[in-house]
Amino acid sequence: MIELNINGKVMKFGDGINTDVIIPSKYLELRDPSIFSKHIMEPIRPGVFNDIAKLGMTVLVAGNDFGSGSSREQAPEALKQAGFDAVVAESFATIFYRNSINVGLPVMEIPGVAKFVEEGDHLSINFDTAEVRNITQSTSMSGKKTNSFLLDKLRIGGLIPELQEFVRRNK
Amino acid sequence: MAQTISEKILSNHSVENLIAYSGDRIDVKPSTVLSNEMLPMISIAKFLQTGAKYVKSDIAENMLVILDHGGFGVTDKYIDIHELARRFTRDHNIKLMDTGAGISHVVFPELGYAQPGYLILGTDSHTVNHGAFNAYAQGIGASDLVELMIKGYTWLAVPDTNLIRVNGKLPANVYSKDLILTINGEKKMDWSTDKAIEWQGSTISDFSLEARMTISNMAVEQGAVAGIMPFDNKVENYINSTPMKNQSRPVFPDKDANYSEIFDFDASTLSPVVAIPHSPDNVKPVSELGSVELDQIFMGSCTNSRIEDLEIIARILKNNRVKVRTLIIPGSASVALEAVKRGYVEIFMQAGAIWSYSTCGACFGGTLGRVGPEMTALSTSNRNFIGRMGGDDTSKVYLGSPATAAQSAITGVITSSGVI
Ligand code: SF4
Repeated sequence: MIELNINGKVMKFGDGINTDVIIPSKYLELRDPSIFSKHIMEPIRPGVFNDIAKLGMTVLVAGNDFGSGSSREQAPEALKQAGFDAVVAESFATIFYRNSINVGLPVMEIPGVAKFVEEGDHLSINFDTAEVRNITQSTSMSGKKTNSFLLDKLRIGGLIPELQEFVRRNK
Repeated sequence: MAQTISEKILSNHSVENLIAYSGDRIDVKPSTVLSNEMLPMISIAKFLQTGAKYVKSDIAENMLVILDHGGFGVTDKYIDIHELARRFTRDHNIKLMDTGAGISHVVFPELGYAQPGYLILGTDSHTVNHGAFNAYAQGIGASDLVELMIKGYTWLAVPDTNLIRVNGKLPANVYSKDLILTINGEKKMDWSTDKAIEWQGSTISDFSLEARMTISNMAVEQGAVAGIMPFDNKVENYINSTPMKNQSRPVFPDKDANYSEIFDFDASTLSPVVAIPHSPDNVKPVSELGSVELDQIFMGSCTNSRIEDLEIIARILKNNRVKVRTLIIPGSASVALEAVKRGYVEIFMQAGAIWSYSTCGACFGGTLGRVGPEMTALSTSNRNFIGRMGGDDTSKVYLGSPATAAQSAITGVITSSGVI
């Protein structure tokens, strides 16, 4: 069972971050997420990959419409492999949200989150209750509850572990 | 209770025969499935990881894989990726169209895989393109495809629907691309997030299927999960001209179907527009642009590379010379052949444009026509995000209609058609 309480320092991005920014298409042919994840956010903030570990910023906070654009599942996969434990945003593009659950990356929609946190703040997110605490600023707020059907998928690590189980049962 | 087109089509494909309404989550079995390099890049490895041995036969039979993004023998990595796709599809009896056959969203309907009433799922966000055929077509991820291949079905959230009614006659030199860019510019990239769009109105009916696809293709640029157009005899005629013939069931919305928003748009107010860097919803009339000098022009992509687009380009380029590097990529091998027969290719080459085999090419900065830093390009594709066509945040990509692109090729600056 993966922990659905996520704690970590915030790395903050703006509105409308699309999948071509999250992982530029020229790196997709590398196929291995541990390799292409080194290039996340390169068009707008090169070197982010190194900052995540160095600065311990493992919670990505973003504005509106995070993950718009391509259906590439490599976008949430790259963020996860790069070391982000969760992504929270004002709102998400549909396919990105679904892909994140599928690859086991916890995501939560939190309207107002962009004003609620500064880069570097320490955030504690409970995915079951949708309670979010900003430990640095001693404030709290609620996000939109993630559907329990999707939380169950996240708990077992995404769609592929679920399908492994399906194949085992139907042998 | 009254239903939208989406609610009807999704109900018709419910595994448990549920009557579904927006807000429901149901398991659905698609009519047809589209994939591309996402299959070999991700899905095959994950499929094997689950321990699955074979692809469900009803998915395999209705699935079409088109290798469109990676080009023809361009990099060692794509050569391997393509070979993996060939082997897997051969082993599992899945139909594959190899590199050069065309862009998936052009080829898929040409072969009759998009039909009225169909539920179409594809591992590409522009799968929404096929809504032009009165189908519900949604983009999914590569793991979702694995689920389909193993279980034969997946889940979908039944969406709310935004209704867009477009009436009025298009002014001269204005095309469906100007219409969709203008509406997306007004409504922005997330207006229809998690929602379907239904299109209605006389302007839509007046358009050919090619022009309709340009519009439904860019439904995802306002966040929509599907963009569905009405059934009419133009759809029927198109389907009857495909190798599959008509196997479909047209779907109409109920009179009092529940729409979350209704937007009325008057097409007679339109003028040629472009999306300016770095977002497809950043839209301005060409007349308000000032002088934008171009380094490169790309005409192609699943948005605008069909024979009707090439016809417009040929009409403008005839007896002219291009002033900037101009790349024209046809949407499919059959579009290319038709362009040869009609003499368009001769016109393009006499004008000094470069004519290529069919592939996504410059659209996503893949195999040909990438731009570099400080370069400015005009493209008929659907996205101009930072770095999308290569380069970096100093590379600028404008999006416009084939007519605007062809006219601009002659002048070297962004120019709307009809100006010269
Ligand atoms: S032409 Fe462009 S938008 Fe269309 S499928 Fe290819 S890369 Fe995607």
